Amino acid sequence: MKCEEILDILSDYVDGELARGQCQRIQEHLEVCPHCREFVETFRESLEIAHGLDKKLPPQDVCESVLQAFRESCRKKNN
Amino acid sequence: MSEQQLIERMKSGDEEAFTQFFDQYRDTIYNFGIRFCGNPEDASDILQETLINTFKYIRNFKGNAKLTTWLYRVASNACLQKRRKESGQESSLDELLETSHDAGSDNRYHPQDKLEQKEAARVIENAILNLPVHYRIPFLLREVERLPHKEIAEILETSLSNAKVRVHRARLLLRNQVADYFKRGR
Repeated sequence: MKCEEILDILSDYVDGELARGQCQRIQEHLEVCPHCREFVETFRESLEIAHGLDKKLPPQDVCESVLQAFRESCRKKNN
Repeated sequence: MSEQQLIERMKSGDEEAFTQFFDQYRDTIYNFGIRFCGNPEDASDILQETLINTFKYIRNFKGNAKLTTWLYRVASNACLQKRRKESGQESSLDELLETSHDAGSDNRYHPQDKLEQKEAARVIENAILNLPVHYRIPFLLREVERLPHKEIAEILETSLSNAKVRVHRARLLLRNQVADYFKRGR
């Protein structure tokens, strides 16, 4: 398997959506290609960090002002 | 109240149903908005715009998709609209980190690990904000909201293969942006 081929199917590989044979070919390539190995590691790592990002919650005053604006827009619509 | 009942009440213009809807989905929409635009003010605008547009267009919701799928579509459009209006003014990550409330974090790690984790998260947050909009939304839907490709395709109103390609390219772009950071850490 060539390095460029891995690039095309890398998402399917990390998502576990490839057939076993194809996975095995990738793994064999990674064993002998440090460049691709490093690429796959950083690819995975960046996704894992994205998965673990904190959830940002809206402050209470924002929720109140959004609801207020919403109610005003309802009133305008009804008038 | 079931989702179907909530939708019916919203369709009839019931303000209380909208308030309930807002309470149920505000955190999701706000988080999506802040990850898209990078600052709390714009995220609040996106939240407001999404709620108002939901009220305006809920009658068009046919029920052939999940309510959340439709909602992500409305929120994505609010993000794009915001971007069009204010292109060039985004990405204040410091502000994001200081003024938003975290939903809680994992305390299993030692302080040093925690510091490194925070730095890595900041690098990824910045890299997400640097993705072209065309790739940023599919990336957020997949990697932050953790949605399946099929649902992403429905939200983006595109084919499954196009959604997968956009997520894949976004991942590659993001990886290339952060590669040096990870290399330094090894």
